[in-house]
Amino acid sequence: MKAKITITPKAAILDPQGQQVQQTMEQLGYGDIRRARVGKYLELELGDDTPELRNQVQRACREFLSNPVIEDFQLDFE
Amino acid sequence: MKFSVLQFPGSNSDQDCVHAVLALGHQAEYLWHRQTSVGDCEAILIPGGFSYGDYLRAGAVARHSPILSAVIEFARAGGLVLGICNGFQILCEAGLLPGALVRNRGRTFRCEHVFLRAENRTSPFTCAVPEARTLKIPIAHGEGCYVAEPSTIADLERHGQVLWRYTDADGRVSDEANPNGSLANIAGIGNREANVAGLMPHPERACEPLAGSDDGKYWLESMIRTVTASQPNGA
Repeated sequence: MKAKITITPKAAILDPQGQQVQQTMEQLGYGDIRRARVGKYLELELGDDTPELRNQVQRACREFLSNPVIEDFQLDFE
Repeated sequence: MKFSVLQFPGSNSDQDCVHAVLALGHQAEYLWHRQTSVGDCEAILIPGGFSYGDYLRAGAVARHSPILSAVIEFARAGGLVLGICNGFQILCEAGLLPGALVRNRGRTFRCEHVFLRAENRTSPFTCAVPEARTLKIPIAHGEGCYVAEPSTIADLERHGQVLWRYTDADGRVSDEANPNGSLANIAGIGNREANVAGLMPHPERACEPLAGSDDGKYWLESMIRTVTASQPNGA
């Protein structure tokens, strides 16, 4: 099983990296780019699918992989 | 008085911290990140740098290191802990201080001297600061913008936990004096119990006139005054 985790800055948190990406894309003429948010993506290779393992990965997302003060995460298993 | 200074792979202000403590005539020893006890120290300094390469997030990996468990236990028992720069980020990640540090609003790494005002001169980290003195202290960080929920900021203000704010040379708070976009010009905060504090500027790099300012000595002197005053023989 694999876990695919996307971590993004919370909407209320200023994202200077995203601002820079948006501005540069605009300068380069890539069209109507209104906003960019820069986050990170993690892929975990896991053992056999069990509810316990899913819970542990969920917990890791909350306690270690993301910081709930400034980030949101989305976790998908496949 | 005996300080311990944590060392992680990637710490770079650990030697500055030890030097500053020794220059004031006190003792300091290093604590390696794999150690599981803080020993017999009376206060802990978590130095600046890029612990574990700042991988994942600044302070995220250091927060789960063996020595941090011992530091958390020491702090819960009332021991004095000061986190400087990356040390501040680690304390926020560990939940010992509220909020978080994110990339500087202006997108640049700031390395310069700034001015600070001690907002609460009764804490163990500010009690030696002379009244109305503006403190000249260097900063060196790319992720020092302090953020927290509005309710957290209000709580910090209400309980006197905002310990230092960025100001101009005359002690006035302004946007121009804010090097990184921190909310309410916050440079450093303490916990509710007042035994744990963190700040982005580097007082340990400003403890001798040779370094361009010796205002940084007030941080260590405050901690020394607090610890010695709590000892029965006043030693």
